[in-house]
Amino acid sequence: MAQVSLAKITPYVFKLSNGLEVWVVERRVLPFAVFKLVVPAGSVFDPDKKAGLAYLTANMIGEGAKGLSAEEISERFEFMGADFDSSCGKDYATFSLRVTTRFLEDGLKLFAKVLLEPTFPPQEFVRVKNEVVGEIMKDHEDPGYVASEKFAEVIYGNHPYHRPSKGYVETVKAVSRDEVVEFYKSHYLPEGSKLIVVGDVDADEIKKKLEELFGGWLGKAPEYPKFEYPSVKAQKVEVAKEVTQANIVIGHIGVSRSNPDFIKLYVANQVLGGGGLVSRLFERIREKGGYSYAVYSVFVPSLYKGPFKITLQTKNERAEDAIKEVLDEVEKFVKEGPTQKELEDAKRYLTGSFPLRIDTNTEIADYLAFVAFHNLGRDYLNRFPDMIKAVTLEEVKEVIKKYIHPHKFAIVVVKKKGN
Amino acid sequence: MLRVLLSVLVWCTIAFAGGGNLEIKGVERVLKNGLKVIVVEDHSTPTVTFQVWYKVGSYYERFGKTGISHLLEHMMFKGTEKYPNGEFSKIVSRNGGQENAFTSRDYTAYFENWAADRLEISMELESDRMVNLKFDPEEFDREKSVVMEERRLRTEDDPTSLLVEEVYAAAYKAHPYHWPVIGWMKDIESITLEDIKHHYRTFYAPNNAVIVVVGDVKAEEVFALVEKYFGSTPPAKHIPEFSYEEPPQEGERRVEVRSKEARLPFIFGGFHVPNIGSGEEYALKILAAILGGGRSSRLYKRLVFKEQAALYTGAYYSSKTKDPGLLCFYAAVKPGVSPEKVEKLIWEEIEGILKNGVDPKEVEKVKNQIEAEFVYGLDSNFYRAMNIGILETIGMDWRYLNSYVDNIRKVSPEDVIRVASKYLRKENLTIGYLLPEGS
Repeated sequence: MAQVSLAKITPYVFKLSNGLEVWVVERRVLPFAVFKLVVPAGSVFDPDKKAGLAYLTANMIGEGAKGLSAEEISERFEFMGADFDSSCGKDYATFSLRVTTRFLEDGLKLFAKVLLEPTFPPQEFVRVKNEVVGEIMKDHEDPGYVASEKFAEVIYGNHPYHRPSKGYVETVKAVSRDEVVEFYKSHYLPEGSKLIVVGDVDADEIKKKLEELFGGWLGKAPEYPKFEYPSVKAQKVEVAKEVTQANIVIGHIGVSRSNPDFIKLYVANQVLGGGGLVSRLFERIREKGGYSYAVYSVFVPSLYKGPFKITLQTKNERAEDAIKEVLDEVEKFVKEGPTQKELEDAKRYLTGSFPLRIDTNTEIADYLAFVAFHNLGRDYLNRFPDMIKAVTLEEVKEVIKKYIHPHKFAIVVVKKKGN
Repeated sequence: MLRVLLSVLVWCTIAFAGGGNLEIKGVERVLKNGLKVIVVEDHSTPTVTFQVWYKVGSYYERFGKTGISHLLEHMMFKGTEKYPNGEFSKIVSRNGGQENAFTSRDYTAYFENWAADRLEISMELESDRMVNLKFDPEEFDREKSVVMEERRLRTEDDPTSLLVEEVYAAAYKAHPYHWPVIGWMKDIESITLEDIKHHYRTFYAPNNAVIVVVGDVKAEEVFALVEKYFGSTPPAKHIPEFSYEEPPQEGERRVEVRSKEARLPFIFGGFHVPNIGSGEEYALKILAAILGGGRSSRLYKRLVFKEQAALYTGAYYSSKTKDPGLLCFYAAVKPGVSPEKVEKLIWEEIEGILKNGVDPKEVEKVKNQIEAEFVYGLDSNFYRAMNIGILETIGMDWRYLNSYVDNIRKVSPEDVIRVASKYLRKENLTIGYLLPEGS
């Protein structure tokens, strides 16, 4: 197929005087820009008894800054029609701002203030903590969430990936305001953080502005610690819930994003259960079996070894049959590998659909935040299609045997008791 | 936290806006067989979205057969003589395309997004399945179970979705917005192959469809291709028309859902309000945003910041429906707080608007938000095409989008108060509580 040009998305990368790495993509089609700060302060840093500390800290950003209350901050962002958002996963936290050119100057100033001069007002801390506790309770209404949380607990043992990034009701309650302030001081630092800028900006001008606003922020974020992984073993866990449909997660610990085999596995997984409406699992479980509306598999790209997991849902009575079919399909896949044609089709899908996934300012900023965090290189978006094309059938057959072990799968089923 | 809200928003589509110096520059053409084509050229990225919109959705269904439009959408992926089951998706996939479809109350749409030079494949595939769909009995049965699983996933096992479904069913008694797009479980089960063939032959025709193409294409070339692939498809002789009117509501309606799996109470309510084309939609949009659009809205400030009675709360209104919809609000009740208290606070905020009016600065803020949303929305080919498709299938002209922001700018604080006092009345409200069983 025609080579879709990605040349427009080569970010300009530089460091501010304080060591903050900045990636800028000038995309001056529409009058707005997206800013996204990546801070190496995910929930892997949480002590077990304070699970949720990193998440709470990220959620306190925007809840008070020097001279501004939480309400005033929201009022100001929203008067500009700007969106401010924070999120915190297992590896890192992100903070983003989307703002029109008309309000860019004021919006960026407020963004910097909120990030660099947070006040953690005690009354807002109590409120946000209660909100997180409520969120966690609400998450447990969703059987898919329950299944995936249990799956992580089952496969990760004592590794911090076993905990949800939000933590648990009791551990969140145990976090104090002082601990949040301390976590902010020790982890929210420019050396190690990355700032992505995409949209209607001039790289030289924005560099000056960022130096003014962020240059005084000083310090180096701590390194990520090393953690042990438990040994992989087959197990089956059932959780009872009053549901009409069993939620099933199957898999084991996979690989880290930095593993040189990651791209090969990514291509292999596309054949097995990747995106789109074509995959072995989609065909067998949905098209042939009529078991499930959604079924997919994924190697979650992560700093540490992320999970390899297969997710599906089917009515309670059919759960066991569906699991058998999934296992059979995966065993066959690992044993025989994909056909040459399946591999070529998967590669064409991945390379062809790639430009579609990075065609708005927000999508580009999100993708680059991931690329910057994992140090994949500023030319990653341009190299990606060639990396996919280079994967061979032999390589795929080798890596699936090496990294997918159906006989060692953990199986988690959330379903109605008695079925 | 936005993600938490999404499940609530399934019923009302995303906000849209138009106007200012930025506009959607479309070109349109109508084929002899009645097929309308709208093209927007955008050469900023070498991609294109191709969308076929049919004027059919749950609005066009009847009791006992609800969900048939959505089930038909699923069957559209099950093959024709020329492209047997699975072939369509394989072709799209190996050409690096994204494809899918969605069914709403007022429309059903199919799309492919891909490199601009793949456009002709869309034409070939979509023109084929517009009329040549094969209905294999076994495939049909299997797809029915897939859709029933979809209903279990999205509704039966999601207490908040169940609540929204109940509120709509109570708010509409004489109008098809009464039932959910996916249909009632028993109806899905009882739809026959004959039913679905009939539905297909009735509504899938060039004179009941609109094609929208946005991306790196030339309009004249698109028109030529559409002519080549769709030009010879005969129009349907008769497309049935429906007309409903929900009678005025004469008193508050209350529903509740008790769920063993709910962990916290949730409140969802809606007031009957006019839709697009009424002239009141602009003031209603601003009213909804003042009440519950974002963290600086009245509901959020009172319920979340001041009283700390809700985890999150909001209100929204989408005018883009064929018939009048609802201005909705919701609140996730905090642990230890009663839903009655939260409802009382919501009413105090509504009454505050009615008694004391709105601040001009508040109105200005909301207008800025709507204008910014319009600018953000222009960044995506898909989203622009979607807005055009929605307007065209609900009987409006897509150019409406280009004066939207200007019309929003014209709304005065008095206009907002006028629609608030007209529609935010208790006797015009349907409200539902989700209650954890045993609470």
